[in-house]
Amino acid sequence: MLRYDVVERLHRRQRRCETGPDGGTRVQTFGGEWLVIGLMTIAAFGMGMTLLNLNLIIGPSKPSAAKAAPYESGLPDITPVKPRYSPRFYVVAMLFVIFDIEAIFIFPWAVIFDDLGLYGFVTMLSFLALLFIGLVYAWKKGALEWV
Amino acid sequence: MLVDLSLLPSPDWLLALPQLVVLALAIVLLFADAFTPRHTHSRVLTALSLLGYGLAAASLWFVDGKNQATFWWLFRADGLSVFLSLVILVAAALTVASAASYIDRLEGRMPIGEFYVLLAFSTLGALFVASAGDLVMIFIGIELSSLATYVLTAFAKRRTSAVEGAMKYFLLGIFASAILVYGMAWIYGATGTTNLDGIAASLQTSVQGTGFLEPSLLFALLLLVVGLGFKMAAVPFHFWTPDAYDGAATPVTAFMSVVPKAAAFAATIRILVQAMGPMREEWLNLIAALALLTMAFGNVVAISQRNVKRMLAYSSIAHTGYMMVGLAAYRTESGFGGSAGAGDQAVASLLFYLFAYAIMNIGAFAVVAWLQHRGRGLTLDDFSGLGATQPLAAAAMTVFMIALMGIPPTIGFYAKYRVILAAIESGPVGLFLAIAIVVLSAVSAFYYLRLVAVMYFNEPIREPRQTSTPLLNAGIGAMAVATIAGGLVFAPQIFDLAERWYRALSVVAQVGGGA
Repeated sequence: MLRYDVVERLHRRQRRCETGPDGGTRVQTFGGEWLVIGLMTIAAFGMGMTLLNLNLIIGPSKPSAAKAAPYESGLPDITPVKPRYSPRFYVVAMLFVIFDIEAIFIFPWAVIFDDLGLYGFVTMLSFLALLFIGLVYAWKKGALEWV
Repeated sequence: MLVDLSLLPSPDWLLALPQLVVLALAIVLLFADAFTPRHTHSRVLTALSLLGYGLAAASLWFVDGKNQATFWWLFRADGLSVFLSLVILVAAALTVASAASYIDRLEGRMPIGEFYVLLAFSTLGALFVASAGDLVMIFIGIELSSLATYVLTAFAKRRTSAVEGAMKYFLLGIFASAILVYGMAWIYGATGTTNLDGIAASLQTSVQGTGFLEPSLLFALLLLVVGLGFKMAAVPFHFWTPDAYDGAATPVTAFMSVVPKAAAFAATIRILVQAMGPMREEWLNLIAALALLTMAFGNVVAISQRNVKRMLAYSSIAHTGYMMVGLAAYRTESGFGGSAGAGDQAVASLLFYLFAYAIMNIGAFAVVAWLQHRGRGLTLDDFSGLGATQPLAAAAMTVFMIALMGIPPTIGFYAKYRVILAAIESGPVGLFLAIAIVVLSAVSAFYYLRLVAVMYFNEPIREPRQTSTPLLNAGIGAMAVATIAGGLVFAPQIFDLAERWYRALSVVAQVGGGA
């Protein structure tokens, strides 16, 4: 029951945004701003593809074995090419995912902040506090140090 | 019409006191792990853990007898939740007692801080399942408990068997979770609510009103039984159990053979009895068949095990079967929310069995860990001659084996007696299951007594390594005493406590209503 009301309130808020400040309906802008954005997208995509493919069409192409080597004018590899990277990369990525999800929770909460009132504020604050505890722990354990 | 949130009843935090204490324990342990110096580390964390579980168990006293639902009927504090929380907290504390020195010394010194924190989170998840009033709450609790247990299983990460067991447990576990939540979605689709009382009320009207049961509900029931059957290691869904139990570090095995199982039975009682009680005719025979399969398979396969940990793993599958008999014997003439009749002792016998099983099973694994401290392995031969060289350890192991077998004067006997009694009273199917329990207990005597015989009648292979494990010794002693005292003295009192679950459920059903 509660959930439907929140959705309804969101719809009402959206309708409020679509009406102008004087209460009258704003001019429908479909075909105006959106057309510009669409044209921009097409132009950017077209420009990129054209420049890439122009090279194939008008550039000279004389392949040879030396050119196919990783370093055309360098020494051959004596060690494996793939570098050994620190697995801490994985820990940092995991921390990123956690804070990413935090953001996902915070945005809808912020939208209906004044409807939720003090209880919603305290709830989110305790959620942030728990995350903060996790961050302090990860920090202390050295998850944020590179190397 | 918008609901003003300030008009909703505010949550009663005191009812969630045990959970809050364990959550606080987990946070304190995190900080203590990060900020205490290395040399006092292990002792500080162990003391904190024991203190935390003790406080949480003491706080059950505030919750006991309240019989209320709060947090908008997501959370209930009733007799069922209090008893199951007690079982879970006792199991967690006993695990700490048997794990402290193992984690700190064996298998290349595993990080003890992370171990205790994961243990606390797994316990917290199980506690939430025990007091869940909503399918969503059950699912979140099971996931919290399972995720921590997956990591604990792989805790001895240098040993490949631990990683293998954890991988199997994890992959099959998330698969079972998906099936479980799919079943919950079907229930929601058929009844329009995830609230347990709401589902019961909806089923009550549809069963009584038309006498026609929607096929989608049967499908939901099947999915739920598969998902829950995996979590409690019932037989067609048990394949992860031996590998995970064998691979995990021994104290972790003790923990995961009790606490996730208790959580699974909590979820099963909440879902099948409390929510789907009106359609019990549909699930009683299904559970009875699974119970028979589970105890037969567990006992028969345990005979051929030479590895004691694997043997105890199969024996724990068999005990799942015995406990499921308690569920299959659930009968009530008066319908949900009525007065407790004769058949309602079935669930109480299940709960009592869970309590007895927690003590005797953790005890058996603790003795295995005790021997590992002294340089022995896990096979039957490693136990040979223990009665001559280490009489106290052998005596404790004998007590646990006798209790697991169900021989008086131990708590295991009383638990099995109660389950058999409830089964006989429930009707012809129950009578058949009761006979099966007796026959299969005789089968189980073979492998339990073989271990006792090896300890007392074989020649000792070599002198065990000398080492001191005071906390583990105290834990084993306490469990051995509790196994005997529980059978001789306290069994009726504990059973009375377990029996209060039904009264509590009906009280909450009237207060909470199908919201």
